[in-house]
Amino acid sequence: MQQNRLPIMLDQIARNIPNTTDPILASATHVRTVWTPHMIDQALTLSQAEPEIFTEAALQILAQLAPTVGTHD
Amino acid sequence: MTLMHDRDLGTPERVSTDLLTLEIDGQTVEVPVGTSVMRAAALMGNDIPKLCATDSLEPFGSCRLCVVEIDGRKGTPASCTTPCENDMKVSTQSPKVSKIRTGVMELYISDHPLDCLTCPANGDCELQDMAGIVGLRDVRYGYEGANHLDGLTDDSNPYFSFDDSKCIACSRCVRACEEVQGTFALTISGRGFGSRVSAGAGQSFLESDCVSCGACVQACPTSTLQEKSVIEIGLPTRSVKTTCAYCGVGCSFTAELRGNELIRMVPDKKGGANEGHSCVKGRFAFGYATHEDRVTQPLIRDSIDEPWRETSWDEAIAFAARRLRETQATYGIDSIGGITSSRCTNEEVYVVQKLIRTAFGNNNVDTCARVCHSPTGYGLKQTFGASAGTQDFASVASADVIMVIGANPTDAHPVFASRMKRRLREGAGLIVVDPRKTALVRSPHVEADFHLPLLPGTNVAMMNAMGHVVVTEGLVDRAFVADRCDPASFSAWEKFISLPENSPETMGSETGVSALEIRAAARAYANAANGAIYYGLGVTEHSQGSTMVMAMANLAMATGNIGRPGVGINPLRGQNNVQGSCDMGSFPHEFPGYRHVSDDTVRESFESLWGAPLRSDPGMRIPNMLDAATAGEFKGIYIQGEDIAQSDPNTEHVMAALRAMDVVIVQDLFLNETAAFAHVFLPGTSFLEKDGTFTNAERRINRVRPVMPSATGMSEWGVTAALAQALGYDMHYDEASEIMDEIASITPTFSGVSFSLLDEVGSVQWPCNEENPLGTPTLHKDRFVRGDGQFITTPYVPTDERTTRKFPLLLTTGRVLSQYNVGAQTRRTANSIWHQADILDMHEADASTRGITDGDWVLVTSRVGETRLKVSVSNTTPAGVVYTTFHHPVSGTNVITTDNSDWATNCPEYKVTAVQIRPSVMAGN
Repeated sequence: MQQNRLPIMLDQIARNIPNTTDPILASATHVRTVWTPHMIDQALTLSQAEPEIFTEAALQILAQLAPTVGTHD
Repeated sequence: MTLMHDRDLGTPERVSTDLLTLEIDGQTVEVPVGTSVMRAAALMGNDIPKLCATDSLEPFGSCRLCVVEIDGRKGTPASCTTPCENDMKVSTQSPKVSKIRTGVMELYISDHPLDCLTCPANGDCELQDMAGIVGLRDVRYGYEGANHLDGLTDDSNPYFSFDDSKCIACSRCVRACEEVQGTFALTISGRGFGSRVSAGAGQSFLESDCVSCGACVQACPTSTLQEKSVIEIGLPTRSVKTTCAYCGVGCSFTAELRGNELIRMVPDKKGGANEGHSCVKGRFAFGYATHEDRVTQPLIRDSIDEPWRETSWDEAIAFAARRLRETQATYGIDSIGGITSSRCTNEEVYVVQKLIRTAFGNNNVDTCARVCHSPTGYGLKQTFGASAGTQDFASVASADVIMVIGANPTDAHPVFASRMKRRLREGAGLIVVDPRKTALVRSPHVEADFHLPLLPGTNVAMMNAMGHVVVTEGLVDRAFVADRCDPASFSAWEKFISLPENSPETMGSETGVSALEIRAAARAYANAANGAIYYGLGVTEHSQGSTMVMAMANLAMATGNIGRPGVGINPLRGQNNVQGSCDMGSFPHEFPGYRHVSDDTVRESFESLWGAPLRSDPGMRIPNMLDAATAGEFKGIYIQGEDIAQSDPNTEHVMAALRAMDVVIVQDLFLNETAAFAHVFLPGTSFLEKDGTFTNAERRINRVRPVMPSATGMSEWGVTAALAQALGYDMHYDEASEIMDEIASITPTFSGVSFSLLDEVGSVQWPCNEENPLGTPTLHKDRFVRGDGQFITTPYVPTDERTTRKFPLLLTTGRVLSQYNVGAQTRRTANSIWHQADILDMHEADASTRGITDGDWVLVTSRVGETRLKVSVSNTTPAGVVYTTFHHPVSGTNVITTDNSDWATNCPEYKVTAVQIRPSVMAGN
């Protein structure tokens, strides 16, 4: 499943996002800027099914993004 | 020599505000201090005869044809080497100088073949012209004495020949090789009558260090150095000014033709990017445009297992439209997308992204810049507010210390490299940050003051260490920072960068470079009056590519090296129109002009102009499209001029994604690797057939003019518009200029751009608008585009692509001078004589421990694939690192590169792949 790349991408963003006192919020903003809503929805769905493949930071980013679930379908 | 004779003023321009006045042939002239008598006379319209002088080279004073008389001076000085003085009185015409000139010409002609009528340069020869101008009627010395008429012809170079019998030993070729190109491949061997031009130590041109840039051919006043195409076909009869379609330097050329047959490409002296210089690709490697492999008829097939079927444009476009609509009907509106090409014009790119956003109804558009310089766009926008380099190329002439990071301009941007080397020979300092010992580290008359051979993947560690030195050693330009930068962001960065974890001593263990060297290099850059950074894909193609761009921007701001000539952050773009394709709205989250699709005001203005509703959510990037394809969600793609099956990482994954799609439309010159998975092939046009503009790495918008008719009968933008029409969206343009007019109407940085302006002034650098009607050579002069410069903390995060016992070496990739990217063009030219296969460079220590010797075949294995390459054992690449190119599809270089990518932009991490290498009994393809 290629969508398994999404957890890695989220974790990478969380580890690299610069210049902020709130890296989770900044990461979520970055994701909203460049990810499609469908990718966000996929990641959220996947995190509910297989949370163990996400890092803690990635899950926190997804928590910030959760309100967008389903809003773009 | 050229068909279009640009005025040659004899010696180079001297720039000075101090003027002096003199009299030449009774007329008064005012010129800047340092101007030669020859140039002063030429500026008055009085051309003094000359052979060894030309205004692209420093005066030499050897031919003695340009002698003049000067009141109060003894003898007859050469006007080319004599600087003007106040109140000087010069006579360019007198019985005395006339007699000398005629005598000089007699000597030249007595040792020159009298074959003018059959000479390839007949009608295009300065020697012939000068003989006429001095009124030569007789040669008193006869033709029987000692001479060089039996001189040999060196035909070894595939593009030009050297006929020694026609050489007048004026040294223009030698000086061009030194002054213009900076290679120093040519010399004058022997003395006196025995003086002859020699390539290397008695070698042929092909065997010598000659890089076939053509500067010597351009400089030769006779037919000694002559393009073979002119010898074989004859002199051109018409010409068209246009722009090279290879690298991001974007050289201007005059294409010279007979009918529709291109004879030669002559670099344009007025070209802002190249100022009359060229490289082997732009000057000579244009044969691919008319290569027999070109496909000029549209092709379609129902399935990739079937053979192609030639068809009409109408049927091909209708077929493509039907397949796209069927796909969307079955899998949803987001199931298709497209990729624009940095090889195509701004106009062609603009219409493709417009097609996708309107007719496809989504924002699934991306560009091949995704895999090269997308981190540049991101990083420079965050810090400075503009997704572009800060300078023009001419700026390097004012740099005092030049830092080259992850770039090999000698091979990849050769015309700019020549400019840079000229400044280095004048004494500018040089810092090379690169794992490899590139040509810049040590080449004739150029030697880096510092070579920091860092481990691949540790760029940010290196830049942070330099920033640490700047801050902790008191090298910050406090006045610049206070005046121009956001104070809170600077404070945060200063605090971060001062941490011991960023010190050269700590980071040295990551980079593999000694702290002493890092400190010394950082001091050199920070203390320079003008410090300039130039960088390439060795910066961007990393997991922290965007972070590194921002780290360089931090360093430049902290040291005040922004906003004037001689400084700046300068990306060396790989392809001719990377900058332009990004400017034109090729990113899935941005409209033209880098404006986010979610911005209601911006989106409404595009909706109004384009007459279609537009989506406010970002579309998919290339890797997202490929991932979605393998997941069965993305089923159709329109690929303009990019060979993703060869150029994108993890080839197996790319091929699986393409194979999973229901409709793949490839628009290209050749049936490339990607076309093997296509259902529709729309033949593209070469740069010689295009009408439009390219935007180079310095934001210079240059005209691309049709040199010959389209081989396909269609323009590429016309094909895109027809596809839009077939999909039900009304897109129509009569001329390419109308597309630029539309771009200008909706893109603030392009608002002053039009074909008529470019035709009038040659080129402009964006922003070109009401405020800057002739463009902007230097960005961020008085303030940053974003207002205050934004410092951004850049923590070093090591790449996940680590070496292990199983994969103990790091593979990094690049390109060579003679080939270009995936080689689709250059492999179809005589350039292949210099590079017939991708080779793996390997340090002798790594080779010997594996029992590998020079020329052996090896198996290269990464975490995603394996391929076989032939080895070259050298010390250019450090131990622990191996290097290869990706010019030949059979090498499968990208079979072994991984899916790792930049955290912000998903630019692939081509520069770091952990591999193992073992001897291979079996050879590669």
